[in-house]
Formats: sequence, structure tokens, C-alpha cells
Amino acid sequence: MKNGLKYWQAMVLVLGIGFSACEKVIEIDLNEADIKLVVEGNVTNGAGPYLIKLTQSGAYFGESTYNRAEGASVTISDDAGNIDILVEQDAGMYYTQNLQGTPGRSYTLDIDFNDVSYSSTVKMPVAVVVDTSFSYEDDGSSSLFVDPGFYVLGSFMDTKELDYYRIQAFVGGDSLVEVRTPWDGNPVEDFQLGAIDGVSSQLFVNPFIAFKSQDTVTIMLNSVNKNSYDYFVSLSESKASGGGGFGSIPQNPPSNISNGALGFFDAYTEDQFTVVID
Amino acid sequence: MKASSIIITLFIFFSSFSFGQKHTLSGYVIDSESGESLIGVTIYVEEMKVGTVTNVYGFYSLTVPEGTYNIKYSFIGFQTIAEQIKLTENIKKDVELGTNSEILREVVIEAEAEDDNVRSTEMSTVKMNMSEIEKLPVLFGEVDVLKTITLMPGVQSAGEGNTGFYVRGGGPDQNLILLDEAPVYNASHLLGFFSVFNADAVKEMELMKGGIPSEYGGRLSSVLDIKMNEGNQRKTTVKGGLGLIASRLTIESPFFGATKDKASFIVSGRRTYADIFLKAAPDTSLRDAKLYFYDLSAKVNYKLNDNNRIFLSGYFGRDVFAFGDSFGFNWGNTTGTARWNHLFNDKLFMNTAFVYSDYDYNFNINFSEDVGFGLKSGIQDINLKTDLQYFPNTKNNIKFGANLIHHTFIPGEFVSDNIDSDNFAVVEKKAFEYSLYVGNDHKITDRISSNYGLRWNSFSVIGPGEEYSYEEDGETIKDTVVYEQFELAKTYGGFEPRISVNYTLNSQSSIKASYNRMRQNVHLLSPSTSGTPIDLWLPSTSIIAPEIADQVALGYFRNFSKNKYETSVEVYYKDMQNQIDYKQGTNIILNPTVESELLFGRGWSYGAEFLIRKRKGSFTGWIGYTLARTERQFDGVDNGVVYPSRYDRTHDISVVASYTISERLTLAATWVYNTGNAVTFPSGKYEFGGETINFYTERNGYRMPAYHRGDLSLTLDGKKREKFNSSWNLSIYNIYNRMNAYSISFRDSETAPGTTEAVQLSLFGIIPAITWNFKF
Repeated sequence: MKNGLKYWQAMVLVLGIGFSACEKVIEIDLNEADIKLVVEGNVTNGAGPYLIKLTQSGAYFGESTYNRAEGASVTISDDAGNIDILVEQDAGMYYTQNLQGTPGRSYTLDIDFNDVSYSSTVKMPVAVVVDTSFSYEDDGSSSLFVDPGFYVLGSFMDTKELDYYRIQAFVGGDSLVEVRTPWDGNPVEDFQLGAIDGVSSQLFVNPFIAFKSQDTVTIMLNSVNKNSYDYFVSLSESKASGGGGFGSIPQNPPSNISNGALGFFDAYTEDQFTVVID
Repeated sequence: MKASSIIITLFIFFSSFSFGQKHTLSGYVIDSESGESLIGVTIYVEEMKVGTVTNVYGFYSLTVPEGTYNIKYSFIGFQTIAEQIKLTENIKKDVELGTNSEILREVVIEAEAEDDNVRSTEMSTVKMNMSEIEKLPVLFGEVDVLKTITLMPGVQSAGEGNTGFYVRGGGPDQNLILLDEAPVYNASHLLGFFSVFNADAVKEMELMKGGIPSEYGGRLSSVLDIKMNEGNQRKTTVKGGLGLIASRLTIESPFFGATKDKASFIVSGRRTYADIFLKAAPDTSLRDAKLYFYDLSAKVNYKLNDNNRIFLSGYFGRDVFAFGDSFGFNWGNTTGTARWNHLFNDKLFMNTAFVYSDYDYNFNINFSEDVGFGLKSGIQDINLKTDLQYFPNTKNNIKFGANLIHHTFIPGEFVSDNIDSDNFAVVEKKAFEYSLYVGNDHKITDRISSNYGLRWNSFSVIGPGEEYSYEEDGETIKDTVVYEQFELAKTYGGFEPRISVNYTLNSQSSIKASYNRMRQNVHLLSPSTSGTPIDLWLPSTSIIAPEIADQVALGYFRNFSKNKYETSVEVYYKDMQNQIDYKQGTNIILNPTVESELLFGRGWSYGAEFLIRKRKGSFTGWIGYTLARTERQFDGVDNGVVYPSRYDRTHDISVVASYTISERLTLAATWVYNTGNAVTFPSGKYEFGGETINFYTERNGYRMPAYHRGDLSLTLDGKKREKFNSSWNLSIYNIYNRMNAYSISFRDSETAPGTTEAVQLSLFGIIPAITWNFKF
């Protein structure tokens, strides 16, 4: 229902274009913010190694190629006493050596880069398990908003401990190609999937994408924690905002890394299922 | 508190017995042509050098010692009436003033006494006369009272495509807009390009930016008081206009068969038809689009007898936007006022009003014939108020009264046509508000006069309803408390002292100072960078505290060349507590926990306003300049660093000029310039998830480009005829085709991949319009 704003915006444009609205690229002076370390990485309950990618921010109007943060010392430790020292295999790409993510554990990321220390601690939620999966065909006659084609669904038990999920759909056999997913690939709150507050119930994973006959479809379901949900939702809103007009007030998404670094260190669980449509 | 107001009331009543051999002259002053009551007519007793003015219902009362006096009734644009009156008993005298057609042309734009701006205690006040407004150039030729008022210093237009206006650093929801005493919650039609008031139905308007008297309350920044015409008591007249995108028609008349000056009515309507052009659009999906607004206002007045008069007035306006059957969106205001004027005696005037006000919007989306949903949201007020005005003697004019309001807030109701999904509603909120006030306009000495008063305001959220309390993170719901019908959930109350003082230096100049405290218990949530019709009204609750403003203002007023030129300088400082800002992505639609997405903090505004105005002669107009700063400090924004408010405008210049070329031809021009709005732009970028993400370092740290625009209009009056008169108005909006920035956004470049660019969207270039107006 945030669409309200979009319709309002459409109206502005209808009126504006009807007369003389015009859009042009302009020159604008922007301050140059201090360069920040950007952290992107996660630990999951899937098999390692896990990647921590370190880059650096740049001036807004510069080339969109970002300096990799090379030569950092990066470790991940958990609350069960395991410590993993990550190895930089490519510039700015740091991989764990033998860490195995476990649902319910807390993970601490420590980074030392250019004599500055950064750290972040996250807790991996409990695991989520898809128990059944199936596909069905819809000829699209029931609604304007349903494309004809094959739909793939899975079902899982939503428990009290779990409130946030992410759903992604991939097509293809060995080389999985990610396709469009609901909510632009952002995490969703369980009530958006139909959950009732505080009650365990069976929910369906439906990416609302019409697949074709013979497609091999893999659906990935993640359970994520609230910080991760907040970060990604805020990130997508941040992309849509601007000065003036109808965007929301621009803000940086809430990073969970200390010492002013940008980005997010995530820990989530995953389960996936594959359906081959006949 | 109650005891004190009773004492004051008793004092007022008893004091009337203490004047010995004094008598009261009272009555109504009306326009002899239309029978409309005249507001602000000066009644002057030559022998005593004292006087008074008629109130908003045209009533006056003057108490002087027994004797014979020369009394002058004067009103600019009308012929002065001077009469000798022998006052040996209380006398009721209704007076009719006629226009002087010869002097009319010269001074018609003045509705006040010539030196009123210097003499009155009013400061920070803007009064506009309709004949003044009608000649100014406007977008699409639609005369607009709100747009004109934003040309005065201290009042800023929110900008193109934006609803509302800002007064001295206050938000659009901090203006109390009254239409015949009914609050109007959204004063904009169609993207804010038009105000909801049809100029043909407006009699008078007054904007108070500071020094607000105690009879007004409920908003922090300003009061815009608009009075509708009452309807011609003497003859039937019809006036209207055909314009480029809208047409208007107004009919006013005495009731047929009614005795003279007994009863009359006015009906005024307006409808735009911009969407007719969409029928010719090349894009077929646009052909089904609807985009229009209409409004209708009506007023009836009936004089029961000399002491009792009844007025009924109503306003109904709606904006409609739709794409075929699949999408509909409409919003609008409805107001109704029933008023009873009663004279207890010749010194005590009462107005009691029952007021209804509603603002709502509706969405309808239909996916297929029987699958779809609707959404509605709004606010509704029922208001009972009584205002008394007591004229004990020529030195004092006392006003006191009470006001009860029942508010209903409908944050959102979702109604599905599809049996598979449930209907859903955010629980309605109800609130009860009452205010008591007393104030006195006191002429203390020949040189010093003062308007002082006190207002008490109490606001309670009442059941049925529910409130959430939150954990320390401010987001997780800790508890839900359900309130039964009429149960008090939360109550706030407080005094609002008001005072303004005028010290007259000489007949040409004065110094004025004022202080006022205002409390506001209804809040408009507007989290996007522009105002929209779906912005949400909410009451004060356990979490949202009442907004409180304290403002001091100091002004120097000086007239030159026998009041030909008026000048003034005012400085002000305003402190605003419990202001509202938003966490990122605050969702106001169907969100029961929206309060947890708000941030609260302090704001302040200070500035200087300069005005030079020429009101006489064939060349009239004004230059206004405002230099101001408005800032905010919120714990939740940039860790408490002070940042510019989105209502901050450093410089704001308006130039308005009107030149009467010949008897029938008037040329008018306006030019506005203002500093761009404070906005947040990125100061860097980074990569995350394979995409470019903007990096922001400070809230509102940048400015939109400065806004400026010139408009021109030419009015040609038809030859004066006995019955039928008409005029042509040609207006050109944005005459030098300035492409002002509506928004600036940032994106990956399409022409140079791997880089980013800033894109400016402009809405309106040069727009000419022609309107034909008639009257018979």
C-alpha cells in the first residue's frame, strides 16, 4: 500500500507532462565525504567457506569502481570458542578456512585495516526447513495481475522464534540464474506471508513468478534476524529517495559494523528446494 | 483556572453597572448596495476623540457619557456618514454605507483605515481585500487567496507540486485555516496548485503570524481566518468566469418573498476540466484518466429580529483522480457551520456556533470485476463554540468564550471486495478538546494600547480505542491498553498567555511587541519530502506530546507621505517543542504502530521581515523580504546535531506591482525569489550487493537551486453598463520560462556507464491563460 505515493507521483507527472515538465542532467557540487570501509559478508548454516568482501567508499561523481580494502586482518569467532582467521584470496575478498555456521550461535567479525579496528556481532536465527514443495498451472484468467504460467510453492513451519524471511528464486540446472523475487529480494515480515502473531503455523513460500514448462526452479528460503531485515528494507528505500519530490527522507541504512564502517555483516539460515516443471 | 475565569466573567458583568450617566450607541453597519455586513468600519466620536470598529458580524457598540455628539461612520471605499446624535438613552442605530463611485477607483483596494497599520495593536498580521487579489497574475488564471498570501513576508509557498504554506518556520499543519469558523484540514486542490477556496465566495481573509489573540488556538504557527460572503440582501446577482481549465459560477440573492434585509443566500461553485485534454492524449491508457476537482460553497443568513440572526454555511470540495475503473483516488474537505448571533443587550454580543469539519481520502483498486480493495482515511471534527464580546466603555473591548471539540481520527480502513482476504482497520482514535479564553483590547493611554488575554486548553484521548506502549528500543510493542467508551486514555492541558502592545510614537509611526504561546494537539504526519493528500492526521497520545510554541515579535511601523506608503520591519523568535520528524521509511498507510516510527525534538525559527507597500494611486504594490533561519535538533537525527528544517528559507523576496493604465486596463506583475529548500544529497557512494549505494553524511545539508519566477497579467474591464459587466484577464505564469527544480535525484548514468549523475525534474515552464469574468 505504499503505492499510494506512487500514484500521487504519477498524478504529478500526468499534470506536469501534460504541460511542460522536463528532466535534465545537471551539474551539482557535492561535498566529498571521508572514505569509509564497506563490509559485505555473512555466515550461514550452509557449507563454507564464507566470504567477507571489503571495499572502500568513493566520491559521488567519481567512477563507480571502488577500491578494494587489501591487506586487512579479518577474523570470525563464535560463542562456542571457534576462531577462524580469514585468508585474502583475491584483492579485498576474504574467505573463512574451516568455520561451519550453526543456527543459534553468535558470530563476531573483527577487522583490522589501516590500523583501525572494526567489529560486529550477530546471532544466527534458528533454522527454517521447507517440508513440502509442488507446482501448479494458472491460465491467468482470474486476475489482471496474474501472468499465465507455472507457479512453484513450498511450505514450512513458522515458529515464534522466527519473524523475518527472505525468498529468492533461481532458474536453471547447474548454473543457477537468479530471477525476480517478491519484495525485490528484500526480507519480509512473517505476517506478509500470512503468519498470525505468536502462533506457529504452516506458511507458503510463493515467489509469485510464472515459470515456463521444463524450467528447473530452485527456491531459496532464508530466516534472517531483525537487524538484517531493517538493514535491507532501509537499503532499498535509500535507493529510491532523493532531494525534493516524493521520495522518503534519504538516510544511510543502519550498519551493524562499529567505528563508522558501512555495510552489513549478516548471519542467516537457509533451506532450498528444487522443482522441475513438466 | 475555572475559578479565575468565572471571576473575570463576573467582573465584566458587574463592571457594566458601575458606569453612571453613560449611554450606549450600538447597531450594525451594512453595505447599502448588497446589504452585506461590513467588517472593520470605524465609528468615531469627534467631541471625545474616541472610537470603535465593527466586529466580524458588522456589529458595533460604543458607550459614552450623556450628550450630543457628531458621530462619523467611515470605511474606505465607502462614503463617510456623519450624524449628530443626542444620546440621552441607549440608542440602537443601524447604518448603511454606500460606495462612492467616483472615489472608488482610487482607493478601492483599501479596506482599512489609512493609518490602521500604525494604530492597531495587531502586528504580524496580513489582511487581504478581494479586489486587490483579483488583479494579480495566477497560474491558469485561477484567482487564489492562498497563493496571494504567500507573497507577504514571513509566509512561504511550499512550492510547486506541494500542498500548503509555511509561516515563520512552521509546517503546513501548524496553520489553523478557518472557513467560517470551520477548520479546513487540507487547503489544497490538485497538487497544491489551487487552494480550496473559491475567491468568488470569499468576503475577507486575515492571516495572523504572531501576536495571535486569545480567541484563536490549536495550531502553533498561524491563523488564517476566512469569511465567506453572506449573500446580497437587496437584489439577485450572478457572477462567474470561464477559464482555461476551470469555470466558476456564483449566485446571490435575497430570499424571494422575504421582507427587506431579512434573509439572503449565496451559492458558489467551481469545476476544473483539465482531464478533457487527456481524451486527446496519444497514449490510449491516458484517455480513460480522470483528473479534476470541484467545490461548492453555500451560505444562508436569516435575521429573526434585531437581536437574533442565524447563519448556515457549508463547503464541499473534492479532487478526483482515476484511471478507468481499475484505479480511483479522491480526497476532499467538507465543512458546515451553523451560527447564532445574539445581542443580550447593547453592550454584550454573542456568537454561538456548531461546526462540522471532515477531511478524508479514498482509494479504490480493482484487479478484475469482482476482485479489488478500497482504502480510506481521514479526520472528522464536531465543534461547539461560543464567543462573547463585551463593550464596557470606549477603552476596553473584552472577548471571552469556550470551545468544545470532538475529534475522530480514522488512520486507515482497508476494505476488500475479495472474500479471500480480510478487511483490516487501524483502530480509530477519538479525542475531546476544550478551551476557555478571555482577552481584552485595551486602550491604556492615548499612546499605549494593548491586547492581552489568556487561553486554557485541555486535550484528552478518549475511548473506545487502544494504545500501545513500547519497549526501550521504541519499536517492540510491550503492551496494548484497550479503553472503553468515554474512558480517558491520556490528558494534556496548559495555559496559553497572549499579549501584544502598541506604543504610538506619532501619527505616522509606532512600535509594537508581542508574545504568544500556542499549543497544538493534532499533528500531520508527512514523511515524504513533499506534502501529499495521504498525509496522516493523528492526535496527541501517550507517545506524541502536544506541540508547544512560544513566540516573541518586535516591530516598527512607519507610514510616509500621508499614509501613501506603509513600511514595517518585524523581527521574531519562535521556539517549538515536541516537533515531529521521521525514522527512515516511516509508513503512514495502514500502520497501527506508526507512532513507533516517529522522532521527537525541538525546533526554532528566527528572522526579520521587511515590507514596503504603496496602497494609493494608479501604481500600487509591495516589496516584501524575509531573512530567516529555521533549525531543528533531534536526538534521533545525526546524533543530536542541529540541522536546517525543511521549512528553512534563508531569503524570500516577493515583488508585487499593479498599474492602472487606463480606466479599463490594469497591468499587474509579481516576481518571487527564494532560497532552495534544505535537502539531503549524497556526499559519497559505495558498492553493496553489486549496486551503487548513496552515502549520506548530514540531514538537510544541501540546498535545492534557488527558486524564482515572474508572472504577468493584464485585466481589461468591459465598458461599464447598467446591468451586465464583464472583464478579460490574460495571465502568463513563469514569463521568462525558468525551469525551477521540483526534485533532484541521483542515479547510475545511462550515457556514461560506470558513473553516476544528478537529474533535475522541473514541472512548469511558461503557461499563458485567459479567463473571461462576468457579473450581472
